[in-house]
Amino acid sequence: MLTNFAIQASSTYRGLFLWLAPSAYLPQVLLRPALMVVLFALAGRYAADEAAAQHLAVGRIAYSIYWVHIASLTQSFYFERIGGTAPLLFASSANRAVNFLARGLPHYANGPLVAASALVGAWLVTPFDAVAVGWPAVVVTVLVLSAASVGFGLCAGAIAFAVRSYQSAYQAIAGLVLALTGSVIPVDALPGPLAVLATALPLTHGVGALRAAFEGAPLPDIAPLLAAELAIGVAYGLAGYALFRWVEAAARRSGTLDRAAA
Amino acid sequence: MTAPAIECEGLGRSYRQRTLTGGGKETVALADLSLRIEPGTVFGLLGPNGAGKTTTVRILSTLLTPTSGAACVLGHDVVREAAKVRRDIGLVLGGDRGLYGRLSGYDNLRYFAALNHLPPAMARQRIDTVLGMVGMADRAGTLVEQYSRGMKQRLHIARGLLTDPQVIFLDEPTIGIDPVGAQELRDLVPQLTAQGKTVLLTTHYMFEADQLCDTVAIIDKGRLVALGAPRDIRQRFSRVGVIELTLSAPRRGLADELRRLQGVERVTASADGPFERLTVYTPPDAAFAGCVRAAAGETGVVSVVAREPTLEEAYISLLR
Repeated sequence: MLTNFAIQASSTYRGLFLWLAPSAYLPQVLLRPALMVVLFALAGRYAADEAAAQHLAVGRIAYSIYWVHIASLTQSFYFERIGGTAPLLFASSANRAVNFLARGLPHYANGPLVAASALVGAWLVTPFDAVAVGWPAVVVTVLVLSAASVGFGLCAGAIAFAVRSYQSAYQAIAGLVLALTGSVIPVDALPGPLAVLATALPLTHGVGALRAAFEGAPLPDIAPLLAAELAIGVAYGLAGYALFRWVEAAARRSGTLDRAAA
Repeated sequence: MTAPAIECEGLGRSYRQRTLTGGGKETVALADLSLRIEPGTVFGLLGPNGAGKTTTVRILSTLLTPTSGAACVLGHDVVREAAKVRRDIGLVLGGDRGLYGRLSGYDNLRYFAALNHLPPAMARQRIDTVLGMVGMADRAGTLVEQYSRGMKQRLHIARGLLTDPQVIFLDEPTIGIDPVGAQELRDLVPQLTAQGKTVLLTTHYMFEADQLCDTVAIIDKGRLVALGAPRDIRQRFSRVGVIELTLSAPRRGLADELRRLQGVERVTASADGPFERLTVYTPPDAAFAGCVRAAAGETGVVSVVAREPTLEEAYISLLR
């Protein structure tokens, strides 16, 4: 069972993750997060002050974890569909839940990696007090955010699979998370209905936890935020699985499985 | 009487396209198809593009639900017992897609073995076996994106055989493969039926159907138009008679002269080494050989032979 899971995980990761080639992995996964933190922090300092620069830098570190999983998992599901392998999956006796989870899990390690890259970017342009930062809490928050974002990424992937467009799904979902979860604009600065919506979105609780950890909050203090973040990630993962199964059933009814583009 | 490997009763599939005004247009892809395919046989499904061949394969392989009728594979209903059907079938869809280009051929097969719950040791053994069967053992380590179309097609067939299924759907399996490779793959089919497997083959190559199939069904616009052994189809459904005139050297104007003979439907010319062959198509059972011989005269005529139409000729005359 474990070997079967590992083969499915490894095959779908290597076969469908577009950025796995060194020419893409290096700039996209390792370099871009650092550059984006630098850009946002400098913009914050230019527009306001040092506190704004730090606010945006930490928000961007947290967002980068979600960003990489939204991008990689929308790719994975989209290329499954346009590559013509989806009918073979659906004509097989494969356990769909195992296959669904297997294609998400190998992406987990990219979360801490992009967070490390983004942290380097933040360290370059913002004067963090390294002694005051609660590093164990930061590490745990990054690990929890990575897990929650894999769950959300699976949901994003299922949406890309349903709409048959990697770019549309990726841009819309990543944009939504960036705009409404407090990674850039504080949630309490959002208009009322959007602030309510933000509490049901992923990252909102996680970015709060990461900010608190950077200000030195101990792990027990941020545990409720991390638990909420993880629960939301799991909920989105389950919703993604339900959507994936619905697309399979709908494709069987409507004969749309082979259509490559929306 | 043995239970059929595949059985369809009144199988139909239509698509409804909605319009902006709320109306709808219905397209019939398959209508009232009834078939019975015996175990251990090769069944050919022939027809022009859009005839409903692939729709039939997709319904039988559980990828598409029918909108009318019912179908069973090895006694399992393809809608209600889809999971049971999937355990016993191998599906080979033609074309370049359906493989992970960034993985090697071996790794692709390992993935599909995992999807079908083959234990690792058995998977390794089956992968080696099927790679040998399709002549790909020496290229198994190469990335699929570096494969030619023919190599991808061979890998598709290897994948379809991976689980040692009882029923195998081959949707245009030799398309894009070089002639020698295609013949090697055709040689595989009798080996499969010798093991008691049932093969449903769709193809555009009539000689392939003639060579491999015990029974063929010709469908057009979603409807069954002929069903029987290839020889029966040739005899019962051909609406042409064929006379082959072989000349020792090309003779200008003779083909046009034959075309002008009353009742002749068409004449084709082809070179056969130093000889020229004129094939004259006439109504069936018409005694045209004498007219053709008279028109050709005695000089330079190697032979005039009235022969049975090929399956392809019967197919064309049936669908015209």
